[in-house]
Amino acid sequence: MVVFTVSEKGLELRKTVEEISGQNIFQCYQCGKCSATCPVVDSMDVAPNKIIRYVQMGDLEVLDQNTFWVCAACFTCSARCPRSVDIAKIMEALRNVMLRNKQDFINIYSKEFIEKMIEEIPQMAIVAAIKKGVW
Amino acid sequence: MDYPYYPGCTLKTTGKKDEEAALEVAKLLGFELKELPTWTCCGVVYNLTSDVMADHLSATRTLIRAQEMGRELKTNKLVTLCSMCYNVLKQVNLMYKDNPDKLYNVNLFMDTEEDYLGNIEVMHFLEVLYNDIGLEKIKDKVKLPLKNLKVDPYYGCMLLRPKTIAFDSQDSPHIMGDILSALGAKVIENPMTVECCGAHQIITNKEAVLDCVQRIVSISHSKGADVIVTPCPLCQYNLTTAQKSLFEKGKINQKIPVIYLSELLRISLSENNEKFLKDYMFIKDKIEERGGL
Ligand code: SF4
Ligand code: SF4
Repeated sequence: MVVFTVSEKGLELRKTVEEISGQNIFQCYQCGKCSATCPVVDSMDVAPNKIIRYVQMGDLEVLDQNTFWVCAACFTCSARCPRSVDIAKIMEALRNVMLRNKQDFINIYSKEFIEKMIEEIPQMAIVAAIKKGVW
Repeated sequence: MDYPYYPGCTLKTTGKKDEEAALEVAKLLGFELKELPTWTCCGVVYNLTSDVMADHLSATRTLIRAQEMGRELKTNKLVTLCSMCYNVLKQVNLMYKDNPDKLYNVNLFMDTEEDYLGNIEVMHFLEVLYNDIGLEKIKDKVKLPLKNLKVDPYYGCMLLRPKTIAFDSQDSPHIMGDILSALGAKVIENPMTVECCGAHQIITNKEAVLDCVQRIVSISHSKGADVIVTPCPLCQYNLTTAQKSLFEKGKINQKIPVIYLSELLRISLSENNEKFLKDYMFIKDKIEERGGL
């Protein structure tokens, strides 16, 4: 039997993620299909299945990865997971863990963001980005 | 029958062409899309957490507006053109259908509005065309058959995911292709048709969008598509602007025009389509070139 220890904070993170995503994190058996099918996996620090593994292990390093910010919330992984894990909801939960601790990903007052907004980017993209990256 | 219609913010700005064309297509097919008198942003993305309620309020208000207008028009349907609005309104609506206690709570909270009864049916324009109007009627109304025009119907992700809101097969959808075939076009099959275009990552991670678009258009190109057709204003934008960047970087050697399904429908169904063809002369050229006119 493999034994590993999980810190208090790690346990807490796992519980929070399970609670706000409504998913049983241990339902994932690490087949990697979510990562194989994710359209933006190339831009991620670590692949979606590895993110789930981090949460299973209660490894707080998960919060330092860019993966859940890069996630486009396209539901492809959720549609294809053989274990019916709704991975998109787990990504949302991790974004929310950060955002609810006032760790905004996007600074909407930055020059860079405002400049992009006037580049005729559709409103729907701007609002979506803000909603996924600012509490 | 006329339908209550929710435009959303993008169709009033960068997606104007889609709205203008769709409103006219509806008239050509004998019905009207009646804009809700007051509406707000739908929220664009459905909040996926289980404990947030406030994020759903603006979509709920829109459902109440649809309920009010539906009484006049004698329908419980609400039509959207934008894929993301469709996704959000439909998911919020389903959430209330599946959780009566959440519906009860929201009605208590929004005490200045009439109660939402949970009876609205959220539909995308494509569903109206396919289910309510039907391919035969569309076929009968064609003025300019798009004979020999090779089209690549691109769905993107928001119309078909998650499964609970999908109105077509999640992995091999056919509705848009069937409508385009009814116009006489030659529909190609692109396995990337439901692959995400990168969505809002265009703002924070443009490279990811470029990769997504490169995968989609390279298959479209290898299959000889003349035009990519989409119902979504963000897909239209991402596919168009990313192709421009990819072309400048030498990653693709040809750009394929991306046009709204509604625009192509209007071109094919209008008596006087010269003015609509103006921006898309290649369509007429291709049809003529291959002996179609
Ligand atoms: S597809 Fe599902 S089971 Fe497989 S690694 Fe991803 S989450 Fe786990
Ligand atoms: S929802 Fe996110 S993680 Fe899942 S496939 Fe889409 S972009 Fe990748």
